[in-house]
Amino acid sequence: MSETDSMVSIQHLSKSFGDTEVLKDVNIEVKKGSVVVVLGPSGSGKSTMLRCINLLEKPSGGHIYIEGNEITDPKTDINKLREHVGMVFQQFNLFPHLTAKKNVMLAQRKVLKRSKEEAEQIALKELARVGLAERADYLPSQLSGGQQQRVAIARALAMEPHVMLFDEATSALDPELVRGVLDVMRELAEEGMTMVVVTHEMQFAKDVADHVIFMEGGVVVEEGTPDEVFDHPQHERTKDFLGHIS
Amino acid sequence: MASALKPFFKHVLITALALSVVITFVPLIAGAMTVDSTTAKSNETGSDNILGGTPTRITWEAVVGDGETVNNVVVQLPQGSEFTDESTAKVTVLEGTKRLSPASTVSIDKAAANVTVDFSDPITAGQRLRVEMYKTSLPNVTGEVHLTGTYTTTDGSTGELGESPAITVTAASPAEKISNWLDQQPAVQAWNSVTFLRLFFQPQLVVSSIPTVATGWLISLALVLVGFPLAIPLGLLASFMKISRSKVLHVIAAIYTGIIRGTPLFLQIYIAFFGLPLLGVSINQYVLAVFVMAFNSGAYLCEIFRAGIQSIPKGQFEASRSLGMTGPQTMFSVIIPQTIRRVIPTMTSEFILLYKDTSLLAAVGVMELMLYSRSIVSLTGNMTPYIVAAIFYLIVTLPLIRVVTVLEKRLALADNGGSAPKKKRKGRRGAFSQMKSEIAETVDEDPFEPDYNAQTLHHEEYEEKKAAERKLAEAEKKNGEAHE
Ligand SMILES: Nc1ncnc2c1ncn2[C@@H]1O[C@H](COP(=O)(O)OP(=O)(O)OP(=O)(O)O)[C@@H](O)[C@H]1O
Ligand SMILES: [Mg+2]
Repeated sequence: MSETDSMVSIQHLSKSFGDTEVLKDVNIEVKKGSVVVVLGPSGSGKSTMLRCINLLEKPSGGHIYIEGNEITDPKTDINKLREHVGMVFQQFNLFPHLTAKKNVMLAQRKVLKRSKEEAEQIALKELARVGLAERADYLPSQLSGGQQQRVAIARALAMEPHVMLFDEATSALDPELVRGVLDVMRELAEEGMTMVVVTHEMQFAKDVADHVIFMEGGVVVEEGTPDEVFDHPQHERTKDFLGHIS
Repeated sequence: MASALKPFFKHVLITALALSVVITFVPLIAGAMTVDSTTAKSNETGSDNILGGTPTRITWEAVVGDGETVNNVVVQLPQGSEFTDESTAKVTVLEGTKRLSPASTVSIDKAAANVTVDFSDPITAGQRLRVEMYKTSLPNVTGEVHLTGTYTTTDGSTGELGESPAITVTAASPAEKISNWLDQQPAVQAWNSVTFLRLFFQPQLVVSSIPTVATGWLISLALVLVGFPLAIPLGLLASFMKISRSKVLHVIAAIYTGIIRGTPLFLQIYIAFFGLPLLGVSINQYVLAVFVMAFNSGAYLCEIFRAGIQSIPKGQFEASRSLGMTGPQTMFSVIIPQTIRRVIPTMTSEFILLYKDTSLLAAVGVMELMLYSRSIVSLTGNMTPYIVAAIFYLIVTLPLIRVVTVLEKRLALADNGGSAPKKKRKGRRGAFSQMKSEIAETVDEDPFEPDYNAQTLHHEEYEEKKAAERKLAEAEKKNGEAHE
């Protein structure tokens, strides 16, 4: 793969919490414009891996490159890096004291130094994109979980990220609210956004993923196209896992 | 020498002499009864103020002039003075230190505001007549009061009594007037006949102590209204230092809060008020009081803010940082605004405590609510001013306590996503364990970034935390349902 083709390159990543080794020699390539779906049982290290990409967790070993820049280099400007890496959390993490619109505006104003008018205009555009234009002035507590998560996506998108990380974005939602969020993610993928998605939504993974990774016990057990991983899994563990899920 | 005196100067001298004869009735001048003493007993217990319009005891003394025998004296009070039914007058005649009792009648003329003494045995030269007028009020005007009068000698001639020496009167305030009026009320008298009520809640003293106690109240209020706002930035700064990654800053803040919270405010006040003068530092005691209060409260606010900041879920830091915001930006735009809402009830409680604690300043002589009320208590030996002080504390604290209750309820409601607090959240733990659970590793060398690293969780602890988080997520799901 050529340098310019790679959005995220994870090489020999390891991570320990105290004595517990959570990630062991993880290697993942994310090409620009591709959607990588990460599967795996609970505790397999998916979130930890994802959080290492924007340095919410500090890797214990290995290297991570984003668009060719090594972020594990201590000299990297972490805030600059994070501007281009959007993240969506399982718990939404909206700012509860701000309306939907202001949630989307805040970082634009503070980080990108956009004018109030510009930030507001972009906020409304992004909220419309996730189908919440008319909820712009609602507080998070006045929105359903699904709506909150879509605001969180709009908030990340307003920063014009080069890659979006989704950590079980729909796991905290009721089944009937999951659709709305997945539809937004699907649309994003179609528009060519580079995405790393940790999810338990198998159908979504099959439909949207360009590349599927199965992790267990802190290692990448198997990876390949959705076809390869879902329909022709090579490893017992993968087969077990997929069997349990579907 | 005398011939050298200019006629003009002579004239002045003579006039002055004449005036002194007329005005002061110098006792050396024979043949005229002379008033040489008038006093009034202070009616506001303890101070040497004589209040106008308030019953007092006036003592008037005059000496019979050479060659005179007097059988009638009229002591005239100035206009606006008042005798009531209770007013009495007592006559004493002295010769040297010997007390004489010549037959006499005393009559009080309320309308004319004078006292007439008739002697059937006339009093003679050099004898001193003393008239004591009880329960008599002087006019309620600030200024000097002189008594005048006339006297009649046995040979039938009438003489003017010159202006007496001055009695300095201070006009009584409305409170003092009300208090005087209360004195006369039968209901009040009945109330006061019960020892307990009189000692702890004497209506007159309630009224008359209000102006003084209110002065102290305003001072206490001012001390806390200036001190508390100073304590807020101090507490905020200390709380940032405490959660900072920098060990030095943390230790400085920890020493500050440790010492202040670990010792009585009383002791801190003593050290500041007695220690600084020893060092030759002299500061206005009110200024020093404000600083001591602020310095003390800052330590408590530090802990309130720290707990408040750490009660904000870790996800808020992560979301903010993942958007590229810096540590300070996260602090001021995301964390602090949420913290404020959460800490306002506790801050209000701290305000209440600080307000009450201004009373400790009495120990070092700062005139505040406590000391003002004590000054009246020590004069009257009555507890009533303390009860009035209690009321003045309560009119501030009770409404604030109510505010705290309302805010806390509202906060609990908001924490439940706007719905009424049906059940206690199982997932929510105490502030401390929650704070512990919200600690994880984060990469940054920002001094303002909370130090998640300080406590890396053990595996079991982490699993426990995850379980709690899941419960919380479920609860949130339920909330979501309610909304869709
Ligand atoms: N801050 C932490 N401190 C200690 N241990 C941690 C911490 N974060 C994660 N772990 C441990 O690392 C392992 C991987 O956790 P991670 O959250 O990455 O798993 P996951 O694959 O995302 O699981 P899930 O599907 O439950 O989200 C787990 O065993 C977890 O207990
Ligand atoms: Mg996870």
